[in-house]
Amino acid sequence: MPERTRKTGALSALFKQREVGLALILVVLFLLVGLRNPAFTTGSNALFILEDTAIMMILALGMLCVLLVGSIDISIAAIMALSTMTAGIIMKQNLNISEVQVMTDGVMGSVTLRESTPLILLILAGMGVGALCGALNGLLIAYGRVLPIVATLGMQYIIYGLSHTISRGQAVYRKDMPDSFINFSRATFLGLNSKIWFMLAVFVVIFIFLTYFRQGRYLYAVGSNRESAAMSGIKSPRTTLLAHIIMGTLAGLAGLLYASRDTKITQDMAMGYEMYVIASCVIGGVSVSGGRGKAVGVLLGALTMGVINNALTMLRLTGNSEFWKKAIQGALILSAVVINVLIQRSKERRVLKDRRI
Amino acid sequence: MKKTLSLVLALVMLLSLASAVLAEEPIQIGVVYKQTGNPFFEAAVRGFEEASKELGFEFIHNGPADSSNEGQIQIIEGYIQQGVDAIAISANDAAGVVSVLQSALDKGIKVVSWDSKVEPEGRMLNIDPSVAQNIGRVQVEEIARQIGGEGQIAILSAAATMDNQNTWIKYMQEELEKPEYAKIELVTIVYGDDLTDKSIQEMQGLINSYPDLKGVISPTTVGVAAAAVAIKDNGLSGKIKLTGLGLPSEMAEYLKDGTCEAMFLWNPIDLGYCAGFASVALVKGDITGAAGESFDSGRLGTKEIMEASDGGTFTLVGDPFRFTPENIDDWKEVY
Amino acid sequence: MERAISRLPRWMKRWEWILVILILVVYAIFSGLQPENYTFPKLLNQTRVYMVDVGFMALGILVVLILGDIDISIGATAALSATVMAVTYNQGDGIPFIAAIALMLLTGAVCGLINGLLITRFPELFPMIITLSTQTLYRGIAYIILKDQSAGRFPGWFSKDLGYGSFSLFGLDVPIMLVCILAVLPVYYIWLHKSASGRRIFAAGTNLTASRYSGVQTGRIKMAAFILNGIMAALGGFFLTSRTGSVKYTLATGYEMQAIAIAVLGGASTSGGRGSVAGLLLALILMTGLKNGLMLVYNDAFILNLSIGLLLILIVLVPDIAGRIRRQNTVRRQRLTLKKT
Repeated sequence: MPERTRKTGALSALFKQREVGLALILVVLFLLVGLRNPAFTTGSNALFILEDTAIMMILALGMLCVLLVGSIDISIAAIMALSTMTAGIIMKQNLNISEVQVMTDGVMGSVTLRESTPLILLILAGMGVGALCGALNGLLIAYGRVLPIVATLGMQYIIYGLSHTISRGQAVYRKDMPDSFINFSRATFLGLNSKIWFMLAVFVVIFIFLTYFRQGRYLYAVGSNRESAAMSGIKSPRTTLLAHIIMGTLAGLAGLLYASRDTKITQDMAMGYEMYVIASCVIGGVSVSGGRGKAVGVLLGALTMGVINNALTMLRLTGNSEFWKKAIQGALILSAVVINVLIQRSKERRVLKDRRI
Repeated sequence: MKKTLSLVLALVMLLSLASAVLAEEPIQIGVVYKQTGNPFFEAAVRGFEEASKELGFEFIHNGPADSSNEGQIQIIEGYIQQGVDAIAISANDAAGVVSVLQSALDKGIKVVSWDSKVEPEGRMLNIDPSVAQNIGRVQVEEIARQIGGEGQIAILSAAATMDNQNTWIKYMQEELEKPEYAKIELVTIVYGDDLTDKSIQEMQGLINSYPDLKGVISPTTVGVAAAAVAIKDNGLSGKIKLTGLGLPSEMAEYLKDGTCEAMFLWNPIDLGYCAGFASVALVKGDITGAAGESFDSGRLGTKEIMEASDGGTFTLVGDPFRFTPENIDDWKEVY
Repeated sequence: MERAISRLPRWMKRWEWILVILILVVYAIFSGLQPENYTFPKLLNQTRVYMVDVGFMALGILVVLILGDIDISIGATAALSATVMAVTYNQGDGIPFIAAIALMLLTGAVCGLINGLLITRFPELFPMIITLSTQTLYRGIAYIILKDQSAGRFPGWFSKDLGYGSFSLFGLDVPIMLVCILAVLPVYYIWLHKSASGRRIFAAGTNLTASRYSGVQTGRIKMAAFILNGIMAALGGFFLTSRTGSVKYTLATGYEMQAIAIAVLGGASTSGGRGSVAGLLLALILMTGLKNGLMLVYNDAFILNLSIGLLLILIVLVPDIAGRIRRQNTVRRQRLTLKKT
């Protein structure tokens, strides 16, 4: 008898995971689009979707931390723009193009070398600016007690303004970028694109941080009940600040990857991206009122958004159907969110029923 | 609160009594462009600068941060408030600024549209970069030459709502009807909304969906650069040919590495320059914007005003310029 | 100084006074910088651009904010409602314009109803996410209806007289549009601040659970608030359309954030329970003065955004810090009295 209970326990525990429901939605969506365009279900397209969504995932993981403490950040697209523009200006100013004679297959040919500030310094600069913006958000919210949505709305205006000011209206193009930065989002390792590796690294770090570190557990504690967290000795403003710094830093990293992929940096880069990131988190089961959410769920949520986007491209809508895309996108996001909630509710009902027995 | 308000109003009125009287001033032109921070329009502003040095007028320039129609209206209202003599606008929405420009015309302000037209009711003259038909034709000719006259092609456009994009695409489709292009198949038209990341996604979708794709036309500066990124990343440079309307500064590297053999664009500097001359001619009363008139446009020579297909009048600046790896170095620092 | 402030009568310590001072400061600065163009009559004329359409949307969102919710689909609601109006009127070939206006208001109400239904049925979901999706949905529908076309050619009284007309009062040209919003404001003020149903909204926003237990039907109030919000958004779209003269599916993009900013500047809190119609009016006046001034002096869209962002943060930060100082003083005083006894 105890064996059997354990078995059903394991199975129901699996189904109790919110993430399983989401994975099911994903599979159904995937197959439906595959019926229309078989190219959609190929491995290379799946890998492309993952590669394309990686930046969103990095941002969503940062947003997870912010949402966990019951805060929100709608300035992330602006942070991406400012931190990337900072790195862009540095690389543009130090760019050095040289022709080098190289022997290939016994033939002398000239190769253009584009060198600038070392990539690692550019990354540090970008992430540093991001962290600074995040810290400012965090200070306003945690210590200034400005409501998160208002603080980050205001900061969004300010940061976009700053990015415009430092760029003086000039965009940074491929011709201004060193090879190292162009390859930053294009290099592959073990067959996987660097964006996927960066995403995996961020995921592992965030996952370990949230699961095994005391500071990480504090994020949940502060979000679910600020008063009791404070009573048990957790400094909630400090934890909120930390969450925003993480978000800012990751926004800096994501911005650099984004700019490297587009090989273009403009001062209004990624405008409107924040909403899709927040939507990914919510689809992934993160509660916007704080205290609930998992890193795995967030990844699946972002992936759902990526599949929806890619599916709309791969549906081969032409002519007038182009106009349907925007409405379909809204409807899909809404239904993904609603289905997820319904699954969650039925699970909770089952849990209650189990308890009664 | 009511007391407060009346107090405020009274104070405000007192302060406003100190308004000064207008003095004789040089001609002032208000320039409105689609978006701030767009290199194309910065180059156009340089054209206005050049014209202002030659003719001695003053000008102010501004555009919304979000390329919105509402933002342009705010700017135009500001110009009317400042009492400019002429407004030169590249409109985000041809119909959406007509009302506010009519109120400007009622106040005696001259209105010229350039680059992207305003509907005839709201303008006196439109400065067209080139005949839409030519813009469509040269791109089809170019892609046909590059792919050797046969195979599948696709169009990557900006948004399905953009008038000028749709007109060019219509002329491209008409051009493709011709017998010499019988072996070319236009498989689809996709829209990247003039966002780099969405355009890259759409281009990637084309690559995945149509393995036999031979060429892409992208009549938008954002789209053509995004298509170049996607083609190059997939290692397809030279295998999928690319042409379109692109900014030299943005496309220089792709022209050099063979991702894009040739592309087109008109010169925004000339566009701004010509719009500056046209505005001054209207303010001075040399022209009224009617068909059959002509005005001096400095180094661009004399411009004829012609009847436009939409019922208004227009003048032409010149045909799109063809950028190739050989001449791109002369232009990439210009705009 | 502190004592002087604390001695002031209570009504003078109200938030609205800070706004009044800010308006005067902004006016003094810009009329000094631009004495020719930044004048009261010219500003009055500019109210058409900055006060009316955003004002209606802000009034709608104010009630939603008081309830502790948020709605970022109002720009899209405005676009869809105006689209319906333009398409059914069909340049005079369709239904009469008055009927088209009624349909427009109905569309706004339906959009609000859908938001309200989703939000009350799925309380687990943050209103922001729901309205984010409906935003895409509503604008998508407008896109399907209009495609690449602009719909327009409205009757002259709408696009000329309402949009750009004004009448003379004490030698000043007062835009007709401005009168429309100024007429709505007192009604709104009385309803929200003086009536029983208005008080219920504040009560529900301050403490949802408590008001539910005390018999207030919070679900119904929320539904009503969202429907009202939809109608106000449609009205905002209506006045915006009278200025643009035509409707494109991109109409009023980004207006939701402007409306929220106005309501917050006017003293509303996104966590609910706070908001003021008088403050909202003052915030509208302040924004008109500031935006127009910055437009004249700097003529740069990004400087404008930068200043508005700073203002938004400072204006929320300052009263909180002031409140904290006040509380500390109270505590100190209480301690003193305790010591004495």
